[in-house]
Amino acid sequence: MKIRSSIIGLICLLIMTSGLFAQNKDENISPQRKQAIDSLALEKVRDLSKYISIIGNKSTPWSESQRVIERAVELFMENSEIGVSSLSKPDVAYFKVREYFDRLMKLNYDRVNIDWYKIQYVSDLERQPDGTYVGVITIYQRFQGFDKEKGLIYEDTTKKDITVYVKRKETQIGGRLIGFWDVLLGDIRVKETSK
Amino acid sequence: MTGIVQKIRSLQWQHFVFILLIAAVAIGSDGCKTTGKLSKKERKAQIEMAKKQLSEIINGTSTRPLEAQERTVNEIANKHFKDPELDKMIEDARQVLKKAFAERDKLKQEKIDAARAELLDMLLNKDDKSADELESELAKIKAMNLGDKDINDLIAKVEQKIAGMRNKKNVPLKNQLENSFQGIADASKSGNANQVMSLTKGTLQLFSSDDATVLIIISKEGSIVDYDKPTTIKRYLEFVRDQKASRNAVDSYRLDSGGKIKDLDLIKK
Amino acid sequence: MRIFSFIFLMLLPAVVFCQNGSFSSFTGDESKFYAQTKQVNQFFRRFNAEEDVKGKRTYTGDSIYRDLKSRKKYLNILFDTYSSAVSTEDRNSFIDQVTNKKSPVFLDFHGSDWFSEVTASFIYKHEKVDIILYMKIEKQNNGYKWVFSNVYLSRFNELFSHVGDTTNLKLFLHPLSHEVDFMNIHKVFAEPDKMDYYLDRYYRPDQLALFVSEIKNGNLKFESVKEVKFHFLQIPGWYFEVSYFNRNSNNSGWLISNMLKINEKDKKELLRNYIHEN
Repeated sequence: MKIRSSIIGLICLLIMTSGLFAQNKDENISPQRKQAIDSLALEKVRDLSKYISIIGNKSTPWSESQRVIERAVELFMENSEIGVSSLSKPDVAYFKVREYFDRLMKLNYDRVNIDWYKIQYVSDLERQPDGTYVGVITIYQRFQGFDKEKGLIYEDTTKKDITVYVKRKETQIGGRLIGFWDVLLGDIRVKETSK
Repeated sequence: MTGIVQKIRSLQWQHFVFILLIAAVAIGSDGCKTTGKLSKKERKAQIEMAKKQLSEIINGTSTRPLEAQERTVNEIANKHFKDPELDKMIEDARQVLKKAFAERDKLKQEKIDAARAELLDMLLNKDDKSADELESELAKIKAMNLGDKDINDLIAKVEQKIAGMRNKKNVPLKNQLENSFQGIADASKSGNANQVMSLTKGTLQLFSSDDATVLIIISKEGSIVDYDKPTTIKRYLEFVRDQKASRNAVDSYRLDSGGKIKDLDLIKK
Repeated sequence: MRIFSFIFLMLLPAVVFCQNGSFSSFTGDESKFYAQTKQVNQFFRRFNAEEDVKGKRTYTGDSIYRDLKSRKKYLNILFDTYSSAVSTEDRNSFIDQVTNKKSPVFLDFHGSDWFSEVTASFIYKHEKVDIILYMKIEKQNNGYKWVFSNVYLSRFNELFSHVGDTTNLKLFLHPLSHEVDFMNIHKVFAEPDKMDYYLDRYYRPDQLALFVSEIKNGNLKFESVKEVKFHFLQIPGWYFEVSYFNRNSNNSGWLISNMLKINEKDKKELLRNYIHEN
């Protein structure tokens, strides 16, 4: 009897909390607007992919790589990290974003190929206690490293789960009040996929 | 019959006199040529008249065109007054006119040369003049009526050029910008760094400064407009170059007093 | 927690391929990633049929939003087909229950009764140890966050191995100790490793408190996260576990790795143990 009443209580609580959130969740943002924000977040990830390809490209001059690294770093929230694991090293190694790009630039291959799969997955955006929304976008990348003589010497496909922070901000531009979405990338989990 | 009489009667008498007068003049002049006989008094008066006309020509005080002056000299000469003084004056007048003609030809040639140089400059448009500026310069040259085939050909070419510029200018700024963005993306994709640079430079010239604000609209729903984080035109062009893609269309822009874009709104394609 | 016996059975590959067909224009590799349940978020959405086949979120009013037919299809691909941990019978009965026309059951990300189990490695007094962290979602200021609800480290558990012991006949404080102002209490502290004999038999050691204490004292240092799992108790009468399967297969990603029928009393006990929910 005691258990039953507590279960009923629990169910009531469950209904209440989910009901409350259903109202908060929408927060006057229509599905169309949500989709636009999702696309914007996805675009930042796509921008990052392009930057990674430029940085990884051996024919990119050093100064140009530096400029692009700067741009890529600007996409991120401060102190973001990239956590990498591979099939051979399942332990996650954590790198600061800039360190990760520097390593990418200095990789010891004569040529690298970075391809992005035509698939991406965008999670729901969830509200944090501070009002910023957070989501995760999943993409897949194939990396190939070539040696002048030996040809293809390294290849992997990684799943990248990228944190995306979205915050609504306002600014005055030429007397107009502009409401914009500040999208910043956060931590990225890079996991090698099974062959 | 009565109809004709009435018609004649209805004619006013002044008209009648006028018609008679014209007929008399015609008969009279005809009479002079055919007879060739002039009274001494008449001859003297005519010589005096001719001398007066010639001296105007010789002294350069005639305001009539050179061709008309030449015709007058020839007419006087054709009358063969056989007056030594007059003959001398005819000769002098002819010399003066010959000189004047040469002078005029020289001047015209100079004008043609100057106009040619000017027209060639206009075709090259090194000073980056606007279509309007070129047109007003061309109008001055056209007003000279140089009547030279070369010059006319050049005028036609410049007119064509102005029309071309006008057409380009008539391409709305929106399309110009979008074409530039796409051009930068394409040039970057094909690795043509020089073209990227020149397109970027050219596009930046349309803006009041490199820091002109660029806003990107990500969604419009009723009165709610959602934007991406504001950026500047310089950074946006760099972004298009890095991404090798132009993903936004021009939505609107605001110009400064100098006609340059001070802020630009783009919208997701 | 009682573990039920499970019947071994491989799931029909056709279940996966029926989804595959929608992406026939892509290479085999890509279709594998489409089929994969890529995020826990996708597990929720597929479970509830709140996204289309391409993974795009659907909303109330969309024809396929929470569509029963789609749900049945999705639910079937949400099980780890490589293991026999879940019997076909259980799976079918579970799917029937959650897709019941009259009272379908959905998972709620923001709801209670589900939690995460994170295995993380730490250095504890110069030695590498694995600690299990139990995390749950908590609401704050109209937003949400993950909070620690409990931890498990066998070393901490060993400290309390004698709690509730009824066999020892030596280590106790006699019932008239109070009359002498507990002057005999010193013997409790004379043998620190035996102190747990003197505790309330129903005392539940709070490992989280120990954990915080050891972290704050600098005895415990974080190294990395090794594994993440989720436990769901939101479906009446059922418990199931969701784990990540990194394999070259359509049946990969976040999948149900374990499931059992459980009565509400056991469920409550389980929740109390793991996330201190009463």
